[in-house]
Amino acid sequence: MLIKNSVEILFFLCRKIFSAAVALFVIVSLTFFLMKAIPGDPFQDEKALPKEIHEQLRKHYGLEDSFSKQYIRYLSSVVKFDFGPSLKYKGRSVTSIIREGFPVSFLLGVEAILIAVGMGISVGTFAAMNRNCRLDHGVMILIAIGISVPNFALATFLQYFFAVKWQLFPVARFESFFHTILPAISLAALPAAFIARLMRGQMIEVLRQDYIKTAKSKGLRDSEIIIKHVFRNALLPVTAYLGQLTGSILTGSFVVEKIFAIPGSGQWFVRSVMHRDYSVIMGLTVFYALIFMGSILFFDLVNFLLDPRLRENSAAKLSFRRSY
Amino acid sequence: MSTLLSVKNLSVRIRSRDIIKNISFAMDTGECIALVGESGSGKSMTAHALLHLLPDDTSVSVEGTVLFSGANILEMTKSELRSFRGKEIAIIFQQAQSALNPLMRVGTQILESVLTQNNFSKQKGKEIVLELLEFVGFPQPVETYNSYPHVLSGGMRQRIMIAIALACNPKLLIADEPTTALDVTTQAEIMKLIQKIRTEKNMSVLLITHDLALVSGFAEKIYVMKDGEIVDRGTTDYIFYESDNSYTRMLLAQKERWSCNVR
Amino acid sequence: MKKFALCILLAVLFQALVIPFFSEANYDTIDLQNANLPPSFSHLFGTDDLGRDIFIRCSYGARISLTVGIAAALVDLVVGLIWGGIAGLYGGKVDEIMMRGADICYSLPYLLPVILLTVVLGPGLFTVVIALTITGWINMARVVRAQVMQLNRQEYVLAAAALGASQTRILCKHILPNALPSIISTLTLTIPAAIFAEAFLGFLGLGIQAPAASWGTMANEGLPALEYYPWRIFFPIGLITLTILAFNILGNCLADEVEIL
Repeated sequence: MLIKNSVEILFFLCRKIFSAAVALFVIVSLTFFLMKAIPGDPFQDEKALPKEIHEQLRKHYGLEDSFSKQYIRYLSSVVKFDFGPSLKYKGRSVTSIIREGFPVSFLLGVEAILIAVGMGISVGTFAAMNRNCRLDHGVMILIAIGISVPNFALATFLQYFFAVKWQLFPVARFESFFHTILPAISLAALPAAFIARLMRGQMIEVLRQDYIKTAKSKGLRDSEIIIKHVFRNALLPVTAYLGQLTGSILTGSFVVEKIFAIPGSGQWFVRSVMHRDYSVIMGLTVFYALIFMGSILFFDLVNFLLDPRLRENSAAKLSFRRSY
Repeated sequence: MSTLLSVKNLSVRIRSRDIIKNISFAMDTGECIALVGESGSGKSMTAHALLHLLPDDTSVSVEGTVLFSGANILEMTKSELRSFRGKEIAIIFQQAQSALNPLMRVGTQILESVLTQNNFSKQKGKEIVLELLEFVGFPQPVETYNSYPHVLSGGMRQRIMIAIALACNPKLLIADEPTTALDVTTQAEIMKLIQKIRTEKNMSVLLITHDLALVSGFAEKIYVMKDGEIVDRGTTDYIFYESDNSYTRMLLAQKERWSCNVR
Repeated sequence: MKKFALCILLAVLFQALVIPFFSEANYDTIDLQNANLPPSFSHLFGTDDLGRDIFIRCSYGARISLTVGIAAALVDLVVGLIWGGIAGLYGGKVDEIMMRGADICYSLPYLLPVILLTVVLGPGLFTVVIALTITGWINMARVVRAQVMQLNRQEYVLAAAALGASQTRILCKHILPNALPSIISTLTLTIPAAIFAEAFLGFLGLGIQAPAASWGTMANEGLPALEYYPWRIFFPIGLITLTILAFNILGNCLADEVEIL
């Protein structure tokens, strides 16, 4: 049985990795074409450069080569994950920029995910258990607000009241654990509301199912029923959402890092976009695409492992003896 | 033979609609009785009410007494009910597909039933489950133990439900439309299994169904239900051949028509 | 609940459409002497650092944000209808390819290509609308496809086909009207997403250019002055939040009613 299982898991992984690779290839190429479609180049902003120097710069950075040559060079650089130097900040390689900024964003992101999952699941469960009474309605309103308030709105609000006015938290930067709390909350609010709503809906749905009746008729305690039957079954769709959650936190970091002046990769991305720093844009986009797809793959795998219905098991259909 | 189950003046109201209106019936140890009626007659509701399985909110009100071996089920506290369900009375539901947790192995679900009411070790519990699986007709109990519900056919799932119900050797088995979702051949097999349970385990059975044909070789007493009331009662022979209740006659006529067509 | 949401929306709409006609000042009327004033009777929302009345600016911003939101959602609707409709009707290989394509577009966090596109097309109203529609149609396409597939199997469709109705006629007379509730509720939920994305872009400085203002760009301008002149950022942000909230409530109420249907 175990061997059959592992083979199935392997097949599943291969299929998913293949489609992820295809999607990645499309995205990477699209990014390249997009960048090439932008009129002008990174050197336009600076004070009028003499024509020869401008041309020299372009040649140096390979911007004068033919389109296909640039494309191939781009693809090979993606594979090696070496995007060369930043076009704006000369002397810094794209990889070093990513290496400097990403750990900060990653830390913030993980914190936000933990908060979102923790709060979301507990609030959702709480609402489901107290359905239709005042508490549940209150929670539903809270959820509606959580989904609607944009993360930069919440971030501004938190920063103004909790940091500037009441001075309970540091205003900006990323120097200690306390610095991470307000930004993490701003990032986590929307996903938490989403998870809460999902969890509540799922738990209510599961509680209606017949197998809960069966469990009751066996004489199980209410708490046992909730933990062993309701919770696990309700949690399944939530794990499916977690892949998307990463994306939301990733893009959320762009604004939250700006508001709290956090030196993460989100800030770098926005900066490079404003300055048309192609190599950084491409490097970061590919990097983000990788992260996002990696997390979707991961959570798809988790979902696959947790849900026995996704495995075909047709070979395991049992034989049966017709007697009596 | 002593009275096992005695239902007196049972009434159930849901949202100010009378679903069950003042019904009374009784069952002796070792007997098998049937509650027969069309859909909507309230028979499933009766089964749920007997085990106090109806939802606990304000829209539902249950009145009357349900005496099982002298104890009134409707007045039991939650913990008393818990040691009662499964151990004294067990129930199998109609849709076995949705009555099994899709994410748990079938064997674990039966094991849950065994371990809830007894203090056995997990090892001993597993042995009991494997015995049960063989009893209900699975030739490879170990493989079945490790399967998930979705790989089993309808008939197999119903057998698992029966195994869950038998796990603690209850005195009364309530079978709520056990064969309705199955094809005719499987129906016969399940009924044979229930008969086997009756004779080998000496269990009383309360059969709930809309199919009079199912009942004929099986139950000793029949209660006919219509719109929440018991409109006719008697031994099987009486109901089939002697009763002149118009509703009973109509049900019998339907059964005749159907079995003629089948032939 | 619904009434509450509708009231908010009407208020915002009113502000967007009516107020600008009644004021003498314009959104770019500069009055340096009255810069950075807190809210008062003459300046309901205060003034910004160039002395421009924020209430007026918010009204014009309402026009822009609402226009962008609704326009983007409508484009999403059209694209999603066509894509989802074709995939749902033809099924099989066509459906697989089309939905695979949609999935690939979906597999990036949607704001990433939005930002990139804004860079390519240059800032401006048109750019924002186009950029927003890049990934927004996927949700609508999925809903349409699911509805079409489900309704296609209904018996009255089979009956119509058996009576000789053409594919188009079936689509227009039978499937679309029955899919309408789901489509409308999805549309009502697409609009706030579009408004949010527009505000997001504006906040990052990638949206409409000065002196025109959308709520997002106004928030961006107000951010540096948060400590001393907080009203400059709080009013635009408050309006964004209220509008999105109202649309979400409306959309959820509609979605609930659709489910009951």
